[in-house]
Amino acid sequence: MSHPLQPDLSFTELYRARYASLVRLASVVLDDDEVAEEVVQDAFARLHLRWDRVDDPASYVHRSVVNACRDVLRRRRVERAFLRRSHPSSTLPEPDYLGDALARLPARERIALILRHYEGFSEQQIAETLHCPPGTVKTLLHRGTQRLRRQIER
Amino acid sequence: MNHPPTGPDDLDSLLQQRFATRAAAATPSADPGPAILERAARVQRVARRRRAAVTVAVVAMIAAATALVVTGRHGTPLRTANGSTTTTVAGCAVSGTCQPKSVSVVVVGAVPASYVRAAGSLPARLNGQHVVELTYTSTAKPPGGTGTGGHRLVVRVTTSSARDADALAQQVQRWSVVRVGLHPARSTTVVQAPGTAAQVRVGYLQVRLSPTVTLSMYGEDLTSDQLVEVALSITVR
Repeated sequence: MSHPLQPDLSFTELYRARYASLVRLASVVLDDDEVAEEVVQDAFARLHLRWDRVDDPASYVHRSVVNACRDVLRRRRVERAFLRRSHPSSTLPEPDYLGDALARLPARERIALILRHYEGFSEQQIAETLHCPPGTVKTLLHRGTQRLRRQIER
Repeated sequence: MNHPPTGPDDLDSLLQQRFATRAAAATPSADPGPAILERAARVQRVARRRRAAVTVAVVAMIAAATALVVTGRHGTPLRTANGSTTTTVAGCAVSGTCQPKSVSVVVVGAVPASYVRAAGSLPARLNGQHVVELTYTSTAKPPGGTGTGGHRLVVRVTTSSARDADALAQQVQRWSVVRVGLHPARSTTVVQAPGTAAQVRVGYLQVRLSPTVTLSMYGEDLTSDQLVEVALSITVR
């Protein structure tokens, strides 16, 4: 990268190649297109600043998006808990069993399921993205599926 | 409305279908290239400003403090060297209380355009015994003077020697930042600029189980005239 504020060709290429697909991934995880775009743009902004130091930019920005999604999901969980306390009688206008069950999953389980079923990642690839051993991924996928099933069948 | 699936295959295919549908419904901006570069430039400007911004370091030197803190009387005010419970170290007001196993410290400091290169120290005392020493240092002047935002307030609590640091590291159970935000102006020399605590974003917070706690606060809306209040709680075993 010649100048930090000048678009580097490789950066631009990566950006054009991956931006839309990463926004889609973040949208699946977050169920919110605007926040998804924010997350992905932030991830690219961080990558842009570290371009010279990052070995594998595509993996870096992918992991960066996944991690940022996790942060958003965690914050959202706290907000939901607060809202439940503040407005205990609030109800959804229409039941969405699968959506509700997915929203209640812990962030890592939800992301592991999305990486598996949407991105088609192997357990090894999920482990590399989430920085955890493959055994943990197995557990996340199993627990996530079980939890989904229990919540849906309730 | 989605209906409950009946078996494991149903669930897998339902998930795949749902994720694919959701992804297809997403509408990424057609060409947000300039936006991302603007954002990158903004991030870079903020980072540069952070590096160059005035750093107020309030260093609370806890010299052999833990044992004394543990034996302190419940609710005892954190006495300072001059006998008051609140004093000033180079523009930072410091007060606190001592509980049987914890000490709370409140530091109120102006974002310090006027405190450039100031340094001071405050030995605080509890029941006549040396408990906490607070020093303040500041190393650089903010670029562009006042009102530029991007100021940093760093609070460090550490021991005065390596031996004490080791001892304290083993004794300290928890650091916590009780609150951080703008403090109502109490000095006639301070002009309370517009802004509320809600506008102060904590940009960086590092709390480690070690003798050092570093709180860096970055506020877009901070100006040099605003008082910042940071309350810390230190709990020992």
